[in-house]
Amino acid sequence: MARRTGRSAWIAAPILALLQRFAFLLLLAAAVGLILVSRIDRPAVERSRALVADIFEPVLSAVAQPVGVINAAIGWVDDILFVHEENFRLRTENARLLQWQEVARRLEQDNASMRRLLAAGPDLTNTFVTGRVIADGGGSFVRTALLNIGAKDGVRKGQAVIGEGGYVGRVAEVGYRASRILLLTDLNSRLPVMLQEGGHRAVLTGDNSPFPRLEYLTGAAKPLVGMHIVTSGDGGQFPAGIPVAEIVSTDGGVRVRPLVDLGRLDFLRVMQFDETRIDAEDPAAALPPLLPPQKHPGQNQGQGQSMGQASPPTPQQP
Amino acid sequence: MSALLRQTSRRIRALLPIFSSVMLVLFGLLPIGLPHFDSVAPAFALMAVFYWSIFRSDLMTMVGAFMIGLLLDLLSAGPLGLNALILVLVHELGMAQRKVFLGSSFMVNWAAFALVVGAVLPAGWAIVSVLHWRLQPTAPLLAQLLLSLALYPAIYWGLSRLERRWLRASVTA
Repeated sequence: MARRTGRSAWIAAPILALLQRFAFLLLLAAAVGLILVSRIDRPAVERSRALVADIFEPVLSAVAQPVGVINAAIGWVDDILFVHEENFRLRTENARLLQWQEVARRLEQDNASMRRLLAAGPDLTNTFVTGRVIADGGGSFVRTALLNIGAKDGVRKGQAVIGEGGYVGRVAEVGYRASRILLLTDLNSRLPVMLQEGGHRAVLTGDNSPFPRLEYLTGAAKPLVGMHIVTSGDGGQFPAGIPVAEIVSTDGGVRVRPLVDLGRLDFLRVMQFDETRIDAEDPAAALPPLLPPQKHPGQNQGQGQSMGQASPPTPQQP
Repeated sequence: MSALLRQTSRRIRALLPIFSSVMLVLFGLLPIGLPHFDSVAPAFALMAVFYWSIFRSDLMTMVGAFMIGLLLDLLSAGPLGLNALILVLVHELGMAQRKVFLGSSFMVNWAAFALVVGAVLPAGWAIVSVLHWRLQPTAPLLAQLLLSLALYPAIYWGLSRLERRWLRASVTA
């Protein structure tokens, strides 16, 4: 480790000092330049981001495992603290939901028979890929998350990401192994939505706060606190009717609270929605069952199968 | 042979400041969900760069600080270059005052960290506000500031342990 000594150090030191001063200004300029370039050439920035995310995906994935355990522990403590309130809330909610279950059963039957009457085409089917959140936005200026699935799993830009309870965000950047989700609370998030009651269209605009704003709501609509909003499907990148949020305030602009707790994201599903896909023969088989199967099959069960054959062997039963 | 080994070991250990900073960048990105806190990450990378630019500025160069900031920018989806800018500033501030800090107590160092963080994080907030032409929420900024201040002693302790264990005076750039 020969350090420069003697004459060479005597000459080099001032030059090095000068370079040091110059380096500061140079690096400052480079950083400012990067900020400006990233505003202009977004595709290049996205590509480099995806590349870096791909490189670090294995490390982050590995470390995210114990973090899941820690998160579970935090959630557990949180749950214990509020167990009584939660219990009470769940009891009342359960009573209410049991009534809704009856309604849903009836509506499902109605819906099925109406469909048959109309000979309506099958619903568009959705498939999902599930990934784990391995990093979050890492700052107070963005609301994003990094998922450990990417192009190799079929994730594509623009697809909807669903968490436990509803819409979380959309895929903003895709790498080979990792992809970045823009959460609906992010400043850059614009989501076409509608009020669940009435179907009035609006745009949900994120502003980095936990409560995004509902904008461009049609004049006839009367938003009330507690109303739910769902995706409208406008834009064609994902289907209508995905639950998104609940209105929490209406004075001075409508604000909503996302149905999914965005502070505690773990496993998320990316919805592979393709409007042109019509390969589904039986929508009921492709869609997950809405309700647990009934004990005694009602009259609608048999109608759908076939009128001609007496009893075709169903593939489900061995 | 042993001379070569020693030299290699020294080279590797000289990378420790950069390596530990990168680790802290990754640590800061972990999706740790604190209830009622919506993505407020303490500025771990900032702490590391501040520490090393005071105590081992020969091993944590300004270019190193820039690259760490760039990595954070690329991984965190904020405006590209913002953290690079912030960390270069932190490095400069740390370097400029390092003679003062080297002999002083931890409390002085902590106070200086408070000043630096209190200057550069709001500066970053202002830059983002200008870029989007809309004032950003201040609550996360405040939370990030306080969280960073509160966690600095732990990071300081950890890094000084690392330094004492692996980077004695013999390890030079």
